[in-house]
Amino acid sequence: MTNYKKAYNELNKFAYSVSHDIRGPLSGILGAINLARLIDDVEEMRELLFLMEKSVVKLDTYVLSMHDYYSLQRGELKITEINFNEIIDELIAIHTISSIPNNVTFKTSVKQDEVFLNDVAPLKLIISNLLSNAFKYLDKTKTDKSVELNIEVKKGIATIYITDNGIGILESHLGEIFNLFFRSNSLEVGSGFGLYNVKSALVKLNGNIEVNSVLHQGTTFKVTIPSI
Amino acid sequence: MMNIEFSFIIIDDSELDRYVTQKFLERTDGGLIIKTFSNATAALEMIREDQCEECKTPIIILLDLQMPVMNGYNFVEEFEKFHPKVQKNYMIIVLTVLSSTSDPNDIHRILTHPVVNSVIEKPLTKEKLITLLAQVRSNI
Repeated sequence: MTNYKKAYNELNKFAYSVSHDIRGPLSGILGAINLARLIDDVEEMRELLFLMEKSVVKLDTYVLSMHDYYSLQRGELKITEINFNEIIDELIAIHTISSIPNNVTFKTSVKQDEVFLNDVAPLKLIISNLLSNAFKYLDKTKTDKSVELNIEVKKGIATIYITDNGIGILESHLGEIFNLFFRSNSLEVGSGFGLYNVKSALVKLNGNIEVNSVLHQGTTFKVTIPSI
Repeated sequence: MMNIEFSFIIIDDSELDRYVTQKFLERTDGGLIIKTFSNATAALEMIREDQCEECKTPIIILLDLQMPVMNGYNFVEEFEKFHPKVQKNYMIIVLTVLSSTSDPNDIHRILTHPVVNSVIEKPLTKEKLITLLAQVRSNI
């Protein structure tokens, strides 16, 4: 009975948060459409379309992480041989797009001499989410912005370090960052899914995560995942 | 009717919403002075520094409610700490997304603050803005 009650409360909170988070950007886009009806100037229209596009992309990312949330809650693991170099190449391709224009030094390293068995989808989700956070919460005022990703596979355990010299996390928030819909008081608004999804994926893979962060100096996440 | 000049302060964390609100205002009246803020703390800071006890034109604050760092509710609470002479130059109008799931108590709560004049539901339209301006004029 208490389980039902818990599930019901969770569903309630979920519906509230999701509908609010989706309606925000949608009402923005609707307002923009109302405004567009009055615009004749092509340049002004382009400017508006640019901002609308940003909102739509943000909304799309939100829906994708909601989907991640859903798929992590169910389903069997699909075990394959993991080549971390392949995963990293893919992630570099995605994140160089955001690192180059913002003058971010992005370093990666992989040490893998043994077979590692795991489910590639939650594995990618973990690394990708932590990486996008590292880029997202960089300190815009710093000139030496950097993000580092180091992976080492040894004795059947993959240890992943993701380090940035970004804005850091308030000490009092460290205990809450993995909660669903928790958002730290930052200038960048998150979906509230990201780190919760990371944690769910790690529970599924029997892995572990530690965070070390100093406000204004940076954050390091250490992830350990055993081969299955 | 005489065209009274207003100043506007837009406080909204959404870049698109700030842009849309500003452009709508400019289209309705080209003579408006508009300042925009992506966070409420910075707006509060500016009002504090301005300390205009005898502002020439009334200032209307268009305030979003759901924002990071400082949300609209906290902004109103902080604003009420200003000297009444400062407060009387401003009028706060809440511009926010209302949904069937939003807590009606929250909206009711914000309206209990005397500095909050009214609540307008997003998305903004030309009609809503015209109604808003008429309402502001009748209140000044």
